Amino acid sequence: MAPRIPQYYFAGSPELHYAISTAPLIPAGVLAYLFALRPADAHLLPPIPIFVAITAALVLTPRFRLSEDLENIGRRMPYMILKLRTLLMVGEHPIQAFVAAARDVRSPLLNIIIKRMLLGEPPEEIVEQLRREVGSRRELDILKRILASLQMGEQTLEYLRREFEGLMGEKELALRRALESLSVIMELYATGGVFAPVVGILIIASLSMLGGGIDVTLLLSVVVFILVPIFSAFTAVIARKFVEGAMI
Amino acid sequence: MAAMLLPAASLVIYVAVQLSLYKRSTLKWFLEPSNALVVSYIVAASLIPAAILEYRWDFEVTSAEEEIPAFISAVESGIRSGLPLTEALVEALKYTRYFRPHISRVIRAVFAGERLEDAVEIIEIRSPMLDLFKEFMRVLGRSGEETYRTISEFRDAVDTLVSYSKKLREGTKSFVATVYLVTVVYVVTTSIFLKTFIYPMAERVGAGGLLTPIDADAITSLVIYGALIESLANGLTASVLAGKKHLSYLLHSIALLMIALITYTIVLL
Repeated sequence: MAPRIPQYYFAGSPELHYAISTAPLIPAGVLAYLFALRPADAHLLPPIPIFVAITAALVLTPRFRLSEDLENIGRRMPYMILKLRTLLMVGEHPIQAFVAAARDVRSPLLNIIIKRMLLGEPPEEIVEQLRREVGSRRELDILKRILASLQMGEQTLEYLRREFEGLMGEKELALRRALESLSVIMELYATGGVFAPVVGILIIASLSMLGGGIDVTLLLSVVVFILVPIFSAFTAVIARKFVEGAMI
Repeated sequence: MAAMLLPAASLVIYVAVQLSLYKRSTLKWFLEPSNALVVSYIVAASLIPAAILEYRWDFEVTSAEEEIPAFISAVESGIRSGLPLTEALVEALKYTRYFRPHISRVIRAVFAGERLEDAVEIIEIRSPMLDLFKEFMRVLGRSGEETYRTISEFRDAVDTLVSYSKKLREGTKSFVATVYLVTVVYVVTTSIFLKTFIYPMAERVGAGGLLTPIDADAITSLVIYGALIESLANGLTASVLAGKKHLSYLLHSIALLMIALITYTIVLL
């Protein structure tokens, strides 16, 4: 189930979002119906999975946006804690300091927390409610701890200092792990994204000359214009997943 | 923006004019080696302004961020030795190079009568670290007796963040080297293949024999387009791996592409 946070949906409306997302299923259904009537028309089939894939991507967009938002919060957390501490040190009210620090992150999730805090809801309760909606996430746990620490009085600053140090320690560990994984990913990328196309070009061109019957232009075009960009994008996405824990 | 759009517009106009003058099909036009080279050169040229802007922005922000801990330390020393805040800021300027023009403007505004809280808005370059620094400057005047503690704790934390960012950048530098390596391998291998195998074989096939005729021009063009796509994809992938903005490694892509295109131009001549 996707989170019911309006900012993650088209025009801020989940209903409109799902209406638009499922629209590509209509032409897919029409094509499937036409194919059922005339099974000989095989050219009707290829667009169907494309329409279904578009629907799936659109339906999953809110989940992707949530992940992106949480990733952004995780990345900016050290800055947020540091700003919060600085503001608290100069005597700013804890809630006002949190609002000022959280606003800089420009996250829909944090904006919801800010709005509801300003309306007087208890901060931990807001985070708990969000956790029930979006599931258990590490970033929400940290936020809950930070919000709880705001009521600690004089010990808040010390707690935030430790939270910051702990977070940076975790980032160091994540960086070490990411660099180890990235070496493997880079090897995979060099092999699949660059050396494989070179070998492909050599083999296709040579075989077309020796054996004949191969459309060398078409095959090379598929390698150059389709396989290489897809593989690069795939590697970049996977690599990003490994690195994101280490980013600040 | 105009500098970025002009080369891209020239590419569109060039291709449109060439196609209108061309007697054969559009596909054939794209599969002629000279056209593939010209298209790739124009694509590379059209990306240069954006890449330079991104690279300069990245360099300026990174350099300024790295100077922040030393600057804050100097401010702290100045205040401890009894200087007023503005004088301490002036003294601390000595420890900056890339950040100096921005801070100097802030100090000039303060001397002109503006409040420090408002003057820090003059710093135009933005990043999470610089935004944090601006916030720090804003609250510095309000610290009262806690000023030393505020400065020293902030400096320690910023130092941790800056060192970490540096470590992240250093750690991912080797990927840029890999990107260069794989592109060079692509260019060298395909150039040798074209020059020593495809072109001689294409001539022999023309003279008769058992071999099936091949379109050497189409293969050459596709190899050139391959270099174009490889270079751009490699630059973007390296940016993602290094956690940078998407275009910050585009300058590497363009450098690689230019090397590749010059090599192919020599091979074709």
